[in-house]
Amino acid sequence: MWRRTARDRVFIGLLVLATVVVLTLDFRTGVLQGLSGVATQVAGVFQGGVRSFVRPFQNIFRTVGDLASLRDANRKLVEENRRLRLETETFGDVARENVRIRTLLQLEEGSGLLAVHAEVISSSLSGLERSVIIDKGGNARITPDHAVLSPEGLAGRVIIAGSSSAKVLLLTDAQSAVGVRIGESGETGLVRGTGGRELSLELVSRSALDQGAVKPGDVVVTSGYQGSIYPPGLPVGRIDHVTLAPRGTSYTITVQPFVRFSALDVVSVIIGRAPVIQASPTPKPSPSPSSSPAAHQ
Amino acid sequence: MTRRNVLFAIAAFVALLASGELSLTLPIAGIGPDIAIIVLAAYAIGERPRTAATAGFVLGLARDLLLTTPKGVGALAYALTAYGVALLGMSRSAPAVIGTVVGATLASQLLFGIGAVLLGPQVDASPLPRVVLITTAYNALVAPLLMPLLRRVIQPESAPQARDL
Repeated sequence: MWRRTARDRVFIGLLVLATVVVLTLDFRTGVLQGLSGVATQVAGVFQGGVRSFVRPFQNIFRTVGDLASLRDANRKLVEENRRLRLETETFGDVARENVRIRTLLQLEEGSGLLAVHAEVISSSLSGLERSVIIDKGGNARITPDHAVLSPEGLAGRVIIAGSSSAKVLLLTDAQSAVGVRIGESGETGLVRGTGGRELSLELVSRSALDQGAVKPGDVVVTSGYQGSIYPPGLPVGRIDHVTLAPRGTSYTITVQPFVRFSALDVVSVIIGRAPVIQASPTPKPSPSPSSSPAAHQ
Repeated sequence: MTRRNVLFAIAAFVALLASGELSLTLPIAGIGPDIAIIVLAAYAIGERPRTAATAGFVLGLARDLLLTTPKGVGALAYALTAYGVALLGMSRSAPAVIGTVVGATLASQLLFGIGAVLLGPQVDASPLPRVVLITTAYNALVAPLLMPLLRRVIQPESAPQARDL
């Protein structure tokens, strides 16, 4: 065992002091925020390289993971297919990404938004934080507080933007909050991240809840009130449970997000509204209702 | 700066990248490992406590800069963990080394988590036990694969503790 001396005690004291200094700088100045941006940028550059190397293998791991529960029944089939799958994995990955980007485009077109597509290249270093790093940043006009979409719906918002990468705080993070409208009732509320897989819905009118206007299955979309960073009508999730507390004092509402955050790969960062193109003077027949989720709102 | 310190810095940087990649590619219940603490433990085993703690502080601060939790919490957690690992001294048996790494992960995750919950304005405490347990379990799976390489690259050949006591 190392012999602890007075110098060791002084050293520990200095460590604590250094921590207090760093915390103070973090809370009171923007110095560390700038350093954070630089660190995100540097990590993003290297992480992009790692991603492109690992990507072909990722889907093999996922596929094997999905088949684990059916292993007994499908063992022979898996063995037969493994060789072919290895050969076609890279192509399959590109095809899947193509489909997801097309879905994203439909979502953007339906809501008239100007977006930049990006690939997720890294995830948070701590389970206490739900975030990802994407491979586009300031060079693609991405700045903090831009909304981020996945093909299924709203994924989160940009919190740090370097020149060629950016950090996105996911909707499931406990620091995330978004104003929403609920289903056909049009009631409003605030969806918060819980740090887990579900979201919680708060600040919903008590009378609406008592009357059953908010119920499981209702779709929740962004309200996009003035000042909100999220445009209106973006799909957020579906109400899972509406539970009245035992003494009837409050409701707990959980929302299942549309986005599969565990499989987030391509996203769109909303950088503005698409320019309005003047319509021709000849009136056209009104289009049929779109089937995109955003168009319902 | 010695060759060993340079190798530690490179290993620590790669560890941060690898943690982010594994959190994205191979998470367990949505949570990835903390490879950086494995690298730090490998460096701290047999190192002088003050040196180990300094290395831990710097590495923890670098990790803090990549997170939204209050900066400095991870730095202190890593520094204290590295100090503790260095105090334990060098062990030659593999199970003891792995045990040390797993213990270091548990301690650093707890210190970091509690610090982040206490100081972070909106860090939720409810996922903390799950995060600590899964990260520790993940590291317990990864550590036996990494430690032989890390011990060869960044661990000192002789323990300074042997000269003490």
